[in-house]
Formats: sequence, C-alpha cells, structure tokens
Amino acid sequence: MTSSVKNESNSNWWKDWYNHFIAGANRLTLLIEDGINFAITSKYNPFYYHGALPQFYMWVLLLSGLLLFAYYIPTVDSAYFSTKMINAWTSVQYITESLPFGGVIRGIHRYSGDAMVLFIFLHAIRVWFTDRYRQYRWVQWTSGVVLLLMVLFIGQTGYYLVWDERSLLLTRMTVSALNALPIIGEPLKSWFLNGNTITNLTLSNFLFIHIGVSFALFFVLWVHYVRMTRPVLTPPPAVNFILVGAILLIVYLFPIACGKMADLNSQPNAYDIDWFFLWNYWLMSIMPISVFWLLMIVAGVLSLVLPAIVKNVSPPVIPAEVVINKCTGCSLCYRDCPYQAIEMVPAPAGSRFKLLATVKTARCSSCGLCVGACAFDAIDLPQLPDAAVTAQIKNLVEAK
Amino acid sequence: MAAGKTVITLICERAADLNSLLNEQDALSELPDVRVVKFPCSGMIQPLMIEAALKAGAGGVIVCGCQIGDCFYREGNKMIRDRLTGERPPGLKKAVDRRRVMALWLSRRQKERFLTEAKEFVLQMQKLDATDVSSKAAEPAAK
Amino acid sequence: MIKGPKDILIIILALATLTVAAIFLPWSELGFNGNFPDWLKDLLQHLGIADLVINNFNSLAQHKQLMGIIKSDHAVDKMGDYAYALFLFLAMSAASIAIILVGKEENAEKTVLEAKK
Repeated sequence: MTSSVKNESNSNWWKDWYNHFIAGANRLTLLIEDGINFAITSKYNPFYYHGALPQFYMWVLLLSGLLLFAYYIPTVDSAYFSTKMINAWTSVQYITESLPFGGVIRGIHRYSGDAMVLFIFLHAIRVWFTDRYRQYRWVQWTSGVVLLLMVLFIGQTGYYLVWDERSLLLTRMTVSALNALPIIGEPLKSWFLNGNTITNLTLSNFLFIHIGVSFALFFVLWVHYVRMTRPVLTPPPAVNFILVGAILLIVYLFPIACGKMADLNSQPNAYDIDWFFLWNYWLMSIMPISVFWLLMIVAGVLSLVLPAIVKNVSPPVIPAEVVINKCTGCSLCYRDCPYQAIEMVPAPAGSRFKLLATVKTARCSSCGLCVGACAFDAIDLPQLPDAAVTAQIKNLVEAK
Repeated sequence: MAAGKTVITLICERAADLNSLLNEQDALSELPDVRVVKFPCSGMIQPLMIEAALKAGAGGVIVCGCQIGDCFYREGNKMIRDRLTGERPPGLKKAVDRRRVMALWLSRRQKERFLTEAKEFVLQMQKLDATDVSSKAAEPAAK
Repeated sequence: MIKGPKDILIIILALATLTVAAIFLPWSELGFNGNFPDWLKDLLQHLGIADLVINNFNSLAQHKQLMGIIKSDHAVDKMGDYAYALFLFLAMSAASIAIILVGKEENAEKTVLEAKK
C-alpha cells in the first residue's frame, strides 16, 4: 500500500516538473509572439508558420542544387581532357570562379542548407514548448525527427562532394566511425565507399545519396503532413523575399572560397567547421568513437520516442463520438477536422442518408471543431455535450 | 442598465486568461453582466449557441479565441470566424442581429485588452437596447 | 491617400527598391567597376547623358570607401556577382518590408460582423 503511493508520488514528481517547464517555456514564447504581433500583426508572425520556413528553404536548395548539378563532375582522379584536368574539385572550382554567378549560386545552396537546419531546430523547439508534438500529433513529431536526420545527412554528403581536403578528411573520419560499429560496420563502410577504398565509384555514390535522399525527403514530408488538414506550407510571399534576401546577404558577406584539392596521398588533419552540419564530426574528434555512437544513438532514439516517453504527463484524450441516428452525412465535420480524424463511410443499410461520419479515435484531439461544424447535434465530445453547453448558456442568460 | 441584459462570452481555454477576473457566478467581477462559458477550443462554438443566447434574452455575444494563426488545435479560431462571417457553413441565421455579435482573437496574456473590449461592447449594446426601445415606443404613434 | 508616417515610409521603401533594381543591379551585372561596354556607351550617347553618367560612375568607382564596402575578400575577380547579391538583398528587403507595412491587418484581433439589414 505504502509502496504504491510512493511510486505514484515519484512519477508525479517528474510529470509536475516537466509540465511546469513546458508551461514556463510556453509563457516565454507567448511573450515574444505578442511583441511581434504588436509590430507586424499575426498575419506575418513567423511563429505562426515556423514549419513553412524550412520547407521554403528546401525549394531554394532544390533549385540551386539543380543548377549546380548541371556543372558538377563526380570523379576523384586527375583525368585530363586535352590539357584541362577534370574532376569534382575542378568542376566546383569552375562553378565558383568562372561561371557567371556560379559562386553566388553555390553560396545560396550552402547557406540555405544551414538556414534550413537552423529553422528546423527553431520549429522543433517551438513545437515542443507549445506542447504540440505528442498524443494525436506523434506522427508529425517522429517524422520530423526522421526529416532532420535526413537533412543533416544530406548536408554532410554535400560537403564530401566538393572533394577538397576537408572532404577527404571527413570521408576518412566517417569510414573510421563506421568501422567502429560492430557487425554492421563493415557492410556499411563498403556501402559508403562503394567498394573498399576511395575511388570514382565513391564520389558518384555520394552524389547519388545526396540527390536521392533529397528527393526521398518528399516521401517523409508526405508522412509529416498527412495527419493535418490544410497544412501551412508556405510563408506569406513578402516573407519569402526576406528569406532569400537574408541568404544573399550572407553570400555577399561570406563568399565561399575553394579549399585545396583532395590528394589521396596526403593526410589532412584540420578543417573549417560548419556548425550546422558538421557538429557530429567535432564530437567525433573530442571523444572515443564508441562514446560518440552511444551518444548519437541514445539521443536519436530518445528524440524519436519523446511523445511516448511523455505520454502520461496529461490525462488521455477522450475522442469525439458520432450520434449515429442523427448524422446526415453532410461531411462538414470531416472538412473541418484539423487532424484528419473523421472519415466518411457509407451509411448503414436502411439509412436515409448516403454517408456516415466516423471518428478515428487515435487521431482525435478532442478539440470540438466537429461539434461546432455540426448543425444536427450528431457529434459530441462525451465530456462536454453541446446540449449541456447550450443549457448552461441559457441558464446564465436567465439567471439574475 | 439596472436590470441589464446579459452579455454572454464564449471563450476558449487557451485564449485570454480570464480565470482571475471571474467570480463564483461565472461572471466578470468588474462587469457582472458579462457571463463566461468556456470551451476547449473556440472552434467548438456552434452558431446555434449564439442564436440560443440571443433568443434567451442576451444583449450580446462575445466570441473569443486565440490569435489567428496560433490556435492550439490549428484551425479552430479560423473556423468560428469564417462561420460568423458566412464564409463557412454552418452560419448564423439571417434573422440574427449581427450588431450584437463580436469576435476577439487574443493571446493568453491579453486579459486587459479583453476587459477593455468587453466594457466598450457592453456600452454599445446598452445604446442599441436604448434605440430599439425608443423605436418600438415610437411605432404606435406612427400608426 | 497619404495618411501618416507609415505611408511615407512605404513610399520611401518603394523608391529605394526601384533605385536599387534599376541602377545598382545592372551595374553589378556589368562587373561593378568603371568598365562600360560599347553598346551602353552608344546608348548613353544617344540619350545625351554619356559624359554625365560615365564621369560620375568613374569618380564613384575610384572612391575608395565605396569600393571598400563592396569588396569581398575572396571574390575580388567576381566582385560584380557578389555586389549583385548584396543589392538584391537590399531590394528584396525593402520591398518585403513595404509589402508587410501595406498588408498588415490593423484589426487582426477583432472581428465585427457586417449588419446586413
């Protein structure tokens, strides 16, 4: 008896702490948002379309990447075409230093990638602080973590593609990191290098991964959006100008220089770090590789299953219920539901109507928008029937 | 407005935080004629509820949800706003006096703003009641 | 039409956008230096402003402070490209701020219904 009470107060302890933390974080974001609303009104407040910001940069990346791809050559060796050496590095150098606006496009591509990672983090933080990532929203959160991991990986392959000294060092660090993994390390290393050593096949593999995983983002984005009706996909156009403008400013202030060409016989040991994409290489360099992998795997798994960990910090959601004999199949609740939690199915035999609304209980948020949409009193939140609400309204009006 | 008409506020739990302003009768301490009903989301408000309030004798109805774009359930405030303006079914019946309905979209911290708007709304409704009474009183003379 | 300081700011921003777009962007595309291609010299001569424009441009171009601002360390040879990026940033930012000032909804926090009667 005493031990069960003690257990409950123990688990309530961390739930209370967690809820307090989230409530405080939410107050902080509200403070900032209210300030922004005062200045530029809610229509332009970036806190209200923070998911659309990285999505926009993805389009910039796709377009700039397409332009770069037209001139990029995925080889490592020093083949000569008449007197000109052609390989990945020289093609990148050509783009940066000879092609009109090549350096600007390259800068736009790299810095949009950094911006996308930054905005994904801000997006994740705001979603977490405002408690919009769990229960019926867990699919969005988990697919979002997968998307972040994919974006980080894509960015890293982008740094390999340049094939300068940094690329060579990063490739070798990756190989030694993969080697350290038990059982799956060897096959992963062979897959990564497309062989046992760095060859032309390796670089074309990097290009394939870079472009392939980029397009795979569309599939995971579909999962990320599928449980939301009318997801906000684009910021207001005026904001899109500023987003591109910011990248252009960074391109002007920090034009990208070409590092030295990679030489397989050399052993580069230092590189400029891009903190957005290459932070894991910094971690690799300051700790034993086994600790690194443990850290990455634990952090990754915890992020993915965060909604499950905090599932019970609040009472479970009580889903809406359809009153079957009143539903006319008008589909207004289905249209209004923000979480795709209502499905219209064929009405049962003998019904006057063609369709019947049904609630997919795992997706229901218990918000009541369906109740607001229904003119037939045919759907209810069990804990707050609209008849009770209407009665309460009448009582309050008539009370003296 | 001695035996004043009630103004009903339909507000969602995450919009302006009125908890500290309410008395035991679910009315605003500063404006006892304003009585408050809470919803999990402003999107749950049915136009039928607004009609019921006015039919039962309320002087006016204030709908309050979160800032447009910040609904915790994504779209609730947009839904009720569009239902009120007629852009989304179900809507208010034609017979409803639309001057007696006002909607506010306020964040949790904006309770002072709510009070200011509510006070102004109550005054406006009193004026409306006065003109309605006087126009009704004038009718027999016109006949 | 012009009701207050906000409207004046919008006009200033619009003019800034147009100025940057019409003058500085083409200048950057030409390399952001004092070199004028023949076709441009001919055009300016036709318009009668060749001396005016070319002399002023050259004196501006030699003005060390202006070039110092625009100079990118690593990109000396492609200065026009990077100057283009800078000026495009300025034009886009001015335009978007103006659009936001025009478009922001003053009554975003309140909805009053139109009385149909």
